[in-house]
Amino acid sequence: MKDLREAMLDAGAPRDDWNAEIPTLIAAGQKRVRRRKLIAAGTAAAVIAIIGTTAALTGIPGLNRADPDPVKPDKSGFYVEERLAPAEVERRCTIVMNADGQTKYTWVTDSTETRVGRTIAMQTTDLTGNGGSHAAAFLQNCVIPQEKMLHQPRRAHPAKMPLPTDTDALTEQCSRQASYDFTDWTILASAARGRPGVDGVNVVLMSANGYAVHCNISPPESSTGIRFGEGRLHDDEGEPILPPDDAGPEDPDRYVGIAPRCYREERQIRCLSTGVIPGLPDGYRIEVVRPDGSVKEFVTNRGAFAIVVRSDKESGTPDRLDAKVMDQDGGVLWDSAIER
Amino acid sequence: MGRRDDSQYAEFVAAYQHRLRGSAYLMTGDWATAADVTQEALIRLYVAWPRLEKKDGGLASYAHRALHSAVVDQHRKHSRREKNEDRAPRATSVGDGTEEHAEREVLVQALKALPERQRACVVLRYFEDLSVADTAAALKCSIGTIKSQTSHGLRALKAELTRLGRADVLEFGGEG
Repeated sequence: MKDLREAMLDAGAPRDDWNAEIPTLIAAGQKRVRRRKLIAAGTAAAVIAIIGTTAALTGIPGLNRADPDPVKPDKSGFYVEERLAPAEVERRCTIVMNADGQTKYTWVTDSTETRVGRTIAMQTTDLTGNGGSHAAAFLQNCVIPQEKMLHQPRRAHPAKMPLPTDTDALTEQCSRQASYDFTDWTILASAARGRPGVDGVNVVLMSANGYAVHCNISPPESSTGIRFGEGRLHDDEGEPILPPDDAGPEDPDRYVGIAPRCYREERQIRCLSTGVIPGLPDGYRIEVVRPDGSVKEFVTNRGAFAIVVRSDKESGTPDRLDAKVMDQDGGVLWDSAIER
Repeated sequence: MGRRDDSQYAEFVAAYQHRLRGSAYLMTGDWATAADVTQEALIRLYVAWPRLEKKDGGLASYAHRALHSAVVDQHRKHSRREKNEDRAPRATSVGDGTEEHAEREVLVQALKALPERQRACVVLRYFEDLSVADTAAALKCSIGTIKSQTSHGLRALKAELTRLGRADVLEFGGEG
């Protein structure tokens, strides 16, 4: 009788003269690196958006390098960057932030952002008016609103949360939350975070000229509230900001945000990820491994995905789920389990 | 992040490929499949090579992880193709007729009955002789998970050998 180690060594010992052809492996590896470079070329901005933002306008290089097109400012469904004078930014945000007629906010003047749809910080005019820590208590974000959205209440929640399939309701709610009119944009992906029609919905919309926005609609009683426009998505020239320490097209950090982040809510684990991988051909898939080891598949739509995975398991809550990006033939482009 | 060095990669492949293929065989139960997943793991290793830690077992750890991932992928594709296939246990093949060959076959067949992660834990711990910590690093899970999965795996392996009427071929000790 053998012990297990001895038996395993015996059973796993090759009994033929097979050898991997190293030049073939290297050629296949080089081909895969080249393919990854092509796909990674336009990914950075979207991943930053996935990590840092709940709803904000995101330029997508590769689809729209020449956009926004200045000759089509009024064309329906097109996103056109609109920069305002600082006084106009303050006027619009003051209207929005002071809409309840109680708290008075002013612009934090070290902010340099003046683009419609982007976030600036506002603070109360009287920083001693509350007994708490003023840094947290008095600062509030304002998404610089479009002129036409100035008097649309941001928090006018419907009595019922929209279904993920109700494109009109999703568009209206996202427009209110972002203070930006998304009429004629296309909803590429949407998913209910819990019970459809009751809990929140994650949405990805795209303009006719290839800009994307992620929008998280939350029910009014949500403890997390509605926050959006956080994080800077572009530098002052409008170019996407690469992740810190980005070392080139092979850098797997470009994909890291795709793996759904998890949190526990009562007895349920929810893992979420919403975004766009620019340039990804239709039919590519994202496979997510649930906490119980089973696999759920999401087909991307023009690179967009809205992943929600729920589990009733009582086991520990993972920080993130493992995810893979796969082509139509099942070839793995990126695998969080071996890339992180 | 280091630069790509094909000669270092080639050295690693030459030194490590048979060990990887042995692991792959024990995880898949088929030498041809083992060759395929070993090559896939080595290609993934090439792609990741510039950013891998070359010292302290970093390459081997990544290679094991890539191999396990490739085995899981292969198993998933195979399952999709054959999910309606009759899953009744097949009779043990006697192969070349020797008792040793039969023992090897029955061990591989018993391993195939284990859940994927338990099988990987048993193979990495007892074929690759990795420590619990190194196995946890290779499979990207906690030390506690490796201990429990290995323990469950050994119990399941013993039960499967008993079911096949060959509990006599192995002596279990330690974690089992």
